[in-house]
Amino acid sequence: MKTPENFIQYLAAHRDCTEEIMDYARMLSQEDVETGAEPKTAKIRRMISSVRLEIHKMRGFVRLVPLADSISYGFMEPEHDIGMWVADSLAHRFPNTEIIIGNNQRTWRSNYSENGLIHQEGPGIMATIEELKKEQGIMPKEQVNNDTEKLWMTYYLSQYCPDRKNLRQFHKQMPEKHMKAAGMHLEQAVSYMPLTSFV
Amino acid sequence: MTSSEKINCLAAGSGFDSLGSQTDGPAVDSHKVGALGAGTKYDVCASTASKRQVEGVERVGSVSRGGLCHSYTPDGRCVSLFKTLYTNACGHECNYCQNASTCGKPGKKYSYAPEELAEITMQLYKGNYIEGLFLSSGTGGDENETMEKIIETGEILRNKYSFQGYMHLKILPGASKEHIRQAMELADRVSINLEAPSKNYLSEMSPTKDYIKDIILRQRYIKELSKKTSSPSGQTTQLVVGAAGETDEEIFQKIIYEYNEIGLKRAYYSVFTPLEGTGFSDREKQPLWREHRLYQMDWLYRVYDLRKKEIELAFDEQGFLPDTDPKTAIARQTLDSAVDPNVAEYEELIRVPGIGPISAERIIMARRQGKLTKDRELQTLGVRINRAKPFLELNGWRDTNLSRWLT
Repeated sequence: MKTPENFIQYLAAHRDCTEEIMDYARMLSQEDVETGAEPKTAKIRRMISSVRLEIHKMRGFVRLVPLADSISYGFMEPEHDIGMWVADSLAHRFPNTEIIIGNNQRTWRSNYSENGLIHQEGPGIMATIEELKKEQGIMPKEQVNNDTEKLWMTYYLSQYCPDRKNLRQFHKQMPEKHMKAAGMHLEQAVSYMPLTSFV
Repeated sequence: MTSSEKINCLAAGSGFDSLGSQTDGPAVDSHKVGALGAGTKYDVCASTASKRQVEGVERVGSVSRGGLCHSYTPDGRCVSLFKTLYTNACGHECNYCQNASTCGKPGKKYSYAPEELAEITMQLYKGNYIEGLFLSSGTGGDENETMEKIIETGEILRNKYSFQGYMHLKILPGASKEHIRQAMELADRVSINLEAPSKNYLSEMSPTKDYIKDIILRQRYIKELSKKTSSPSGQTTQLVVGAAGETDEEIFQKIIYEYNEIGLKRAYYSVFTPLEGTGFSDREKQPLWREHRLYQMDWLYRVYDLRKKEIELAFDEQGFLPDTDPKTAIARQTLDSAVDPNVAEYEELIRVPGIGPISAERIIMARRQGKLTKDRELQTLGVRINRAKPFLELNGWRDTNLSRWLT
């Protein structure tokens, strides 16, 4: 079954979720959501799927930049209210590292260590970094370079086979809204890709 | 890098700008990263799913049960691993490969050092660009010497950097059993490329490789060692499709044998592309759809659980797959009567074009709550109704139009 047991939590995170939709969904079982053919249930199923897809894509697309020892930050401006799922997932992946992801308005901060998972929401990234400075006496690097991005781009371009070009498939897998939400600029790379085939 | 910077670099004929002035990561030769990365671009394996348990907090990284894609190439392929060659120097004489020692237009030869490669992997991993490392290689000096370097890289990652992300290590043809064992202890997955469906085809494609001794025997070692090692690594393989005139049926029969006898987890297919300077540079390029159709057949066998005899119906008399959906072609020959979604078993439903495993399960769940009577209901359950309709009987009605019989 594709519908998860805790589908209500995912539905609540949807941008267009209303109290009315929530009330209706609370009356449904996991099986109802999975197979319901009537329009309201089908809509709920689509909403849950859209939220879960965004979480999945952000877990892969958000890039992290080291800010100081054991602190990494990344840009993310998701459509749905999914920030903490993504931050927690990255914190699990990188234990003992303060993961801060977010944008000018909101941040989601998460840290997984032997004390367990500790997370909190905060204001914009700059304000969160100021907070960190005070809290932990951390001095973030003055300038963060993008060497890893350059290294990545060199590798990424090397994987392209021009004779297989299929931008329809590319856009299906990397919808613009997800790239934008993760602050990715791959389209720029794609636009100059044909030139590289002459090198 | 902005697009204008890139164009300037290209105009200067320098490829990409230098990455030598890095402060955070290792000093990296970008030409090397590009050349050794490009050496794997026809290796289409992109799976990163692993069921390995990752515990504790003294580690960097984890694996994902379903796999995760961090990016896609403009051809829509998932880029989830740092996929690279250890070296592009190779003693083999494969007629389809530009790294072959016999290639008339050899590129510059590069090689990593294990520590250097581990550092680059960690840098990309910590930036959340990749799920892990996919390490392949030319033979370099000889296959066992290069296998040692591959293993050393894996050991540095696992032991020095406590890396718990995904790792796929290639087994080079002819590698020793002990090297295979060591690689399997480190990797989530290992693979040795079959390249061709039989000894004769391989000797035409890669005259320096012995199909039985260098490849099949090593696959058997992997199967045997899988039972003994603590690691969960299974094996996959890849074929170059159509370089030597082999048919789709020959490829398919070989892969079914491998699934059953070698315990293969997945097969990957990469259609032959003639490359400049290689022995096969003047051979015909194979169409991409051939690869796509082979994957569909593979899927019907592994996921839909269709029997070998049914699948064989999709081949033409010469043993090739036409460029049409094989599931529909099979259904036309096997589904004698229309399928009623209100009573059909899962095995019947899944054989209908336009119905997949998820929609078949949903149909079975949904009909417990009431009879399915409309196309629209099936559509909301995920059925592709236009493809399915000619094979269905719904509410006593059957679509008798000709589309069932037309391509």
